[in-house]
Amino acid sequence: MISPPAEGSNSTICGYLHRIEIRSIGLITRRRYWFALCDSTPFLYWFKESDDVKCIGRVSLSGAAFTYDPKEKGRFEIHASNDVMILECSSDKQRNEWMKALQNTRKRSWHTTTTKSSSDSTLENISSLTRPSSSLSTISSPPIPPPRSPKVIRKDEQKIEESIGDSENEPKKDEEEIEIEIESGVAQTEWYLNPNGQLNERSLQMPKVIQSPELVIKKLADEKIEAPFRAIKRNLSSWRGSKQSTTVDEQNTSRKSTISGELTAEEKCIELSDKVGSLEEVVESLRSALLLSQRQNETLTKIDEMAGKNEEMREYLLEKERQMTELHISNSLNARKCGDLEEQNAKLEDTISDLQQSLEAFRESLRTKEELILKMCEENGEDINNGTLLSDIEVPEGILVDVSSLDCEEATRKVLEEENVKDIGELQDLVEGYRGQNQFLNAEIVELHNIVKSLEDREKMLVRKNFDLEACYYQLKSRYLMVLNHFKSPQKPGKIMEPGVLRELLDESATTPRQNQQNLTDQLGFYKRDSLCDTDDLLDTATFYMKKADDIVEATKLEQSEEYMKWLQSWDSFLVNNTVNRQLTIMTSSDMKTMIRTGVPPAYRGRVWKSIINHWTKDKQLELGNGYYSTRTLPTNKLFDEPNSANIEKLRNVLYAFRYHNQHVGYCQGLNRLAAIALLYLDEQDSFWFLVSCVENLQPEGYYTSSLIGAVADQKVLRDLVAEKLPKLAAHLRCLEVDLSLFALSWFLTVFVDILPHSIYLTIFDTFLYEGNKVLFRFALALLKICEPHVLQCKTIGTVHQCLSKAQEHITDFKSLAQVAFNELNPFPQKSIETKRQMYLTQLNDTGH
Amino acid sequence: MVLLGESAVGKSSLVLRFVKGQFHEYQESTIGAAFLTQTVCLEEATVKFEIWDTAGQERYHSLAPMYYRGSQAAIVVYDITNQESFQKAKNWVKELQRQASPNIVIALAGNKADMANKRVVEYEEANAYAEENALLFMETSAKTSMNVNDVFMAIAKKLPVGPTQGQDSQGTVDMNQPQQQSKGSCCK
Repeated sequence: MISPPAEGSNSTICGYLHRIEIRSIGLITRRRYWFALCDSTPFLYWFKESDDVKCIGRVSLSGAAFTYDPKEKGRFEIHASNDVMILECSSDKQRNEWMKALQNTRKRSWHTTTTKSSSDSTLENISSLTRPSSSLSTISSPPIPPPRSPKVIRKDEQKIEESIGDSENEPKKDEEEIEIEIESGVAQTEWYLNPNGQLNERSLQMPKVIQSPELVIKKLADEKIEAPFRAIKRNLSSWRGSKQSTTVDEQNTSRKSTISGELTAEEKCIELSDKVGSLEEVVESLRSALLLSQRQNETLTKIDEMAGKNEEMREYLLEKERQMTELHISNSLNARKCGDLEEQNAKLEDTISDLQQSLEAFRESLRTKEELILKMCEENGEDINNGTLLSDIEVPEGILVDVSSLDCEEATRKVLEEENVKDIGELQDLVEGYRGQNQFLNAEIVELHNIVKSLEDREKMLVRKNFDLEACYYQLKSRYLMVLNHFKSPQKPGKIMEPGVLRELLDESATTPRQNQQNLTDQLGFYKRDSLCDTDDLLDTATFYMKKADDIVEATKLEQSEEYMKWLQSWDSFLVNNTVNRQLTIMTSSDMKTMIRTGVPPAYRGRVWKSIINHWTKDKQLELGNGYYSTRTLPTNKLFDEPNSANIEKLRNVLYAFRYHNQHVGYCQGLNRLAAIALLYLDEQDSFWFLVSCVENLQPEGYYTSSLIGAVADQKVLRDLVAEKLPKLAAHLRCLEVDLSLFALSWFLTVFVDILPHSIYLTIFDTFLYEGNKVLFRFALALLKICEPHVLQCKTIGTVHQCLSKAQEHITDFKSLAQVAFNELNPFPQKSIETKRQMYLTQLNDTGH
Repeated sequence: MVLLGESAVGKSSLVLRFVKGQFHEYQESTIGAAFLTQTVCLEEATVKFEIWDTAGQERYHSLAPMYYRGSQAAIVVYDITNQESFQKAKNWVKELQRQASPNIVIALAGNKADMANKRVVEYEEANAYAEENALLFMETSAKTSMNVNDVFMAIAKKLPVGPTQGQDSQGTVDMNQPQQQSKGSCCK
């Protein structure tokens, strides 16, 4: 859908873009418009459709800043006059093209304004009141302080932070933080402009913080690696927890458990040795108790021997013996227990050593894994395929590591790796994007700074100019008061001015700065008719200048009126679209017709004419080839060497070319007028085509041929139309036997060039070029209608002739004429003109005109 | 009255000199015809000239009858540096004698007399032709204004005092009077 933007030195670009508007309620609308940008104007216009004449809106680029977010595909923003416009195109590449075009347009626009203002300043210097010293002092003003942290970046940061709020993805968040670090690092380094307002040397380098993308990636990778590491640790601790609980429940299950930590084994060991110690103590106490009972036994036997009480003694001995055997039993039991414990202890010690071994193995495996992850992190950045290779490498897992947990870990590792790979790829893109953005924004800031500077300069200049004008104004005012005083009290001695002084004052007032800019001719080179005739009458001079002053004020007012601005804008928007969109023909819509009827602004006239001419003569131009105009063979005739005008030579070339081109018409007096008008706005070649389209497309056949038969027939058509539309006038003319065609013939042949002032007939040309011959009837009738009351007053043929020959005097401006021509005269069917013309043409042919 | 003659012989310049006392080196070519008026006073009457200055180019020829049809006088102009224009002037004279009103006053004017060094049409030749055909004849120069007023005056004197002239005698007329090299005969 989007036509390829025309590449080249100009920044012309067009295409369908989406405009994204965020409404106050948070509603986001996304609409598709046709956007057009052209190097001739500092505005970006958008239209509903590509072939629309009227624009929907426009934005001035002369003070705008552009930015984009590399994360948003194809989207960019235009910041202009406190407003942000978000546009979206289909790809980043296209965005770049648009941004480039926008920047170029802006650059061009402020270049032209600065050159314009500099030319203004030279004009201003003419002013006698300008003091050069003041301009010097202002030039040496203090340098502008370098901008601190650029606003654009600020905004970006904010945006990033917002997006952080949105995103819940943890690793992404890490990225964002790092990016912010980068961004803020950029902002902190002084690097856009030095205090002199010049570009800092390092301004376009990457800041230290991110001198190479590899470093950034590495940094990012380091941060990233911690995440799986942490996860593993977390896993370990959870395992530990579960293992502890199992040891409490059952000590021997330790063997069953897989990779137990070092701490678990040691604890078990200590516990076991504690138990052994306590058992040994028990054994010790039992032994001492045994010794004690033996000693008791000995003493008892001694007592028995000494006392000799048998029965009691026997009983006592038996009891003792029983006690002894019991003690023996318990002793042997204890010993057995002790042995058991010792055996257990040894077993536990075995377990410990086993566990320690497995721990060692596990550690080893951990280390290799770590190395692997590191390696993968590095290599994945360069080549994602490497990552898949690495996963195939056998990892020496711990011996005791059981199968299920191995699977689990591998799965998590794989997930993490994949995420890493993806993230790092994305990150690299992003970093690249940000780098591009950074560079773009840098350039943007430099340029904006330049613009600001030039605008400041201009402002200063305008202020200076304003002061000058003010001074001039006060000077004039004081003189005016002086003159006023003089007239009020002419009797008072000392106040009477010498006769020459007043004259001098008047002359002086005529040479105000404003006057200096105006020469004897206007922009198109027409001589000004209102130049003062040599009169000695002071009052005449004064009235003349008063009128002139009024005219100037009027003209300025008009130029500042809203209507005028709108008029200019509508033309500008149309032309932009017309230039960029080749398919858009100028002739298609009724909108166009209405617009043309309001006239074309002089600044755009050349281009509008050119496109109309192209429309008319496109086929011919194609048919005859591009070089057609320049291959004319007729040499210029040296006999008519009139070097007084630069355009004469061109005019002659055009006319000769035309004579050669259309030998049926050849050269007809009158064509020179048309060609000359064309040369005011167009170059030689286009003027030639202008002439071709006038004669061959716009005017009916036979207008400029050897018998002028078409023009004569049209005079008869005009007579009929006058009878129809202005019956009173027609009757009056008929009564006095006035032949209208005596006058009107040249109106039609030269499109009113001979009778109307150029400000009006140039506008008539606008409509004539667009609509063709019919408008000539409209304007001729309008002219007659405006003159009608004056003509009706004339009672003789002579006075009518005189009145009609001065018809233009009653026309004040184009607007009133157009009002009559296009509104009051309606209906105005082309068909009836056509049939009438055919009728008269056959009639003339029959009578052998 | 009407001015006729080939293109670029100086018809418009003659009229401009007579009416406004001006001269432009590069006078614009006339399209169709231009209408100008000038009033002069003779001893006995005031004459108001209503002058149709016609286009000289051949293709405008066919329109000429419109302009000379009602004319009482005609000046046929040729360029003394251009033989062809003289031939053309003869044709105009013939046409006028044949088609214009029978008592039309015709004057023959050999213009560009200031360019005598480039002369190709001799005074005698033209004069002889004029006498043959009962025309007024003068060599004129719009540039130097030589004989310009005179030729108009001569015509005015020759005109019959008709109703058209009679009723136009009104007031004083601001008459342009550039320095005359020869027999000036106006407003005395």
